[in-house]
Amino acid sequence: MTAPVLPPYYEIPPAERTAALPQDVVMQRCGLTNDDLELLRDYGDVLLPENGRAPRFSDADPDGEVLGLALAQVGHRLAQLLAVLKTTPGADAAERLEALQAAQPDRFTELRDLLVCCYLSTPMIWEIVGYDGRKQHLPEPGEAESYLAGGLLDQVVARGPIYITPDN
Amino acid sequence: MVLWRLRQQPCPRSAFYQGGWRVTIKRGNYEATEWQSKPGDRADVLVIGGGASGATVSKFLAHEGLHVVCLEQGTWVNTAEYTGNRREYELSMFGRWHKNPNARGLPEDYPLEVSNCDIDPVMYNAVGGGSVHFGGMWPRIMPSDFRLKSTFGIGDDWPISWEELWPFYDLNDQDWGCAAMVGDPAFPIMGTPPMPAHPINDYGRRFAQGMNKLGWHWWPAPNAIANQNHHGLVPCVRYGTCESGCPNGSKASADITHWPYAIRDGATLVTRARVREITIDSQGLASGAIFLDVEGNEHQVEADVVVMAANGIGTARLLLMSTSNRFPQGLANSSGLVGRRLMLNPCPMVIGVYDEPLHSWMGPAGQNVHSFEFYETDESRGHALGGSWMTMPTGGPYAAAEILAQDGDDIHGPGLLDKVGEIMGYSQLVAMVTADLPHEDNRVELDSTLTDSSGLPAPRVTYKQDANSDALIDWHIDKVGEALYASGASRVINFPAMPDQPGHLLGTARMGNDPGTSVVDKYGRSHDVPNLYVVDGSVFVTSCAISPTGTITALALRTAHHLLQNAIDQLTPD
Ligand SMILES: Cc1cc2nc3c(=O)[nH]c(=O)nc-3n(C[C@H](O)[C@H](O)[C@H](O)COP(=O)(O)OP(=O)(O)OC[C@H]3O[C@@H](n4cnc5c(N)ncnc54)[C@H](O)[C@@H]3O)c2cc1C
Repeated sequence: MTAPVLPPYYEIPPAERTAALPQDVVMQRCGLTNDDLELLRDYGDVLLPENGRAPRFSDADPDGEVLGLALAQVGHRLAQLLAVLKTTPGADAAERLEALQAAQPDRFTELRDLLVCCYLSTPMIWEIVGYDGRKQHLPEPGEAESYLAGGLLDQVVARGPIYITPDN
Repeated sequence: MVLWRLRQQPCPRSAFYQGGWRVTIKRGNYEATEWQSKPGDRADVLVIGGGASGATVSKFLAHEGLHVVCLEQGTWVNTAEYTGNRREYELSMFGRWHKNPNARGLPEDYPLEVSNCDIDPVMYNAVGGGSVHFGGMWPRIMPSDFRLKSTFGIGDDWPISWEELWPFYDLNDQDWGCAAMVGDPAFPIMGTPPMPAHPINDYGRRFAQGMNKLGWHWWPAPNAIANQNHHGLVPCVRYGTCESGCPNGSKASADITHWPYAIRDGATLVTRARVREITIDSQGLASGAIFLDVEGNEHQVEADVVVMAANGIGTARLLLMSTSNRFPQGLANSSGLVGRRLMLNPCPMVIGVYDEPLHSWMGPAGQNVHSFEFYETDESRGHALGGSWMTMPTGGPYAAAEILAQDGDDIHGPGLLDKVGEIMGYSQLVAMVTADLPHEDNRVELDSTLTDSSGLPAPRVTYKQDANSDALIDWHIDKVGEALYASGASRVINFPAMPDQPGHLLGTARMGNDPGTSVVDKYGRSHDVPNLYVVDGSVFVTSCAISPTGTITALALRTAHHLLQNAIDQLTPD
């Protein structure tokens, strides 16, 4: 069995785990260069092209902020996938992805999922799809009761116990 | 020989004690406590593993005045490390907050060899253990679970009855901040939980309406998630991201609900302490443990009683690693059952998609509505055992894309956003926890090559899902689909296995009355080593079909009560 590739957050001492790692440190740990980031964006643009209201991958994250967040989590895996793509035949990003999908579908799916997750984590996409999550929604007084209004539980209660009591 | 000291002195260098005996309870997060001891130091109770069950035992026994030391390989997790209210939340589920330790790969995790496993076991290794990562679902098992063999002729009976466990459930609910509605007709009467049930939300109401149409049982589901200030927890704000740690501090996890209290009462919790062996004395009694600190230095802790709480995989691994001339097959293993009979509660799920908005990223997640309609065995279904159901939010944009991928959609290429928009907020998830039969070949062993970051052998886990589980899962998926359509869903999407779930690690040191066919007695005490106890999910006799932590910790609390009540008769090493 080959030694596992360590994630970028592996080396961080527990007491420092709340602070975000600077991107240059992450890239150094994962052996990634700025050219690699450009390549990732190219692959992203092939997988997620512009379409109507949907921007292409690189336009959804113009400053690379979300890609940076992704690197801090999975830079080691992105680096491994880029290494595989470097040895995959093809004249451009689209051809290489197509070849990867044909030859190593699991690797393709891994890369696709990571890039799709980046894309769907950008502020621009949240705005477009109307995602309002990860915000506080403290229940209003009486809200819990309101969902049960109209005697919703009455028939469950009327039916009575449904469990078996075994002999001991 | 009977030796039982009530604590007179503070524990050896507990950082907490620098301020004196009683200090205000700080919520979660303490500095690492280094282990320093003098010759002759001996704990009353040494607990291995600071997760849900270890914390339960430690809190209770420390409060009762015993000198408790706990060794935990993980660290404190700071609430600010949780990503559930941040942009990178869904990305972090691929990295730092991955549920699978093999993918997450933190130094405190140990790798699992799973090439022979149909379901990847998941866990979290930290102060609080799996309770940091869990969803807080907090159901009980049903009375028939204790008598499966005599009621249905399946599996085995437990050596205890439901009546013996029920009071400990009630006590435990207070500690774990259970929010529930009394009166659920699926269970005998329960004590008053500390908090009322959470809102079932629009999607839970939808599901309940469907269940009513079919005349099937449902109830607002219990969660160990606060909706009031309780034991250091604060009211839930429904981020719906419970399973990667609660950034609000509302979900019960033992680092908030238990450890601060245990530490206040004198327990010493040593973090980054990886136990490699339980030691024994010349009489064959457990005498303590040897652990490795983060630099790889070895330390020995002596104790009168050792309590294993390292979960259904970690405990078996450690017992198997603790070989000696006296116990060549591993400690407490004269039955040969340590590590065997692993049960994982296979968890399928079905997504129901609706035409109207249901805000179905809102938590808790956690569970909203549960059903025990098809929990008991019914021979007419063509399989043994059953399952419980629970509704949950479906999550954010990437979770919607994952659902589409499972449904065979290409989630790249044009049109993704329209498809995501159809699922996100317009769907709900029904998870099923199904019972699985105990098979001796489903087991935990020691791998001969793979090791953890301390060089200790990794567990090799074998789990083959049997034909009964396959049939049961198919049957339940169909029934959940029926319920979702009855509730107005326009489409359902089936997942025969929920990704990276369920983290229910059960059965590998089972309870029983017969030392030839069980590892521990009905109080969790080893038949072979009378001062060695097991309190985690290993002791389960059969898997039951629920999220198990409420039951694991109620059993642990029962063991702790028993230990205290019988302290005077407890055999201890010289
Ligand atoms: C993603 C996820 C969701 C879940 N959701 C739910 C839910 O909603 N409801 C529910 O009831 N259950 C749920 N569970 C299961 C729940 O987490 C476990 O049942 C529970 O944590 C088990 O408690 P435990 O004390 O037995 O073990 P754990 O909580 O796993 O604790 C064991 C501890 O022992 C430590 N340890 C292991 N080996 C060693 C060693 N050699 N040296 C030192 N320390 C060691 C580990 O680091 C760990 O902290 C979930 C689990 C996961 C992973």
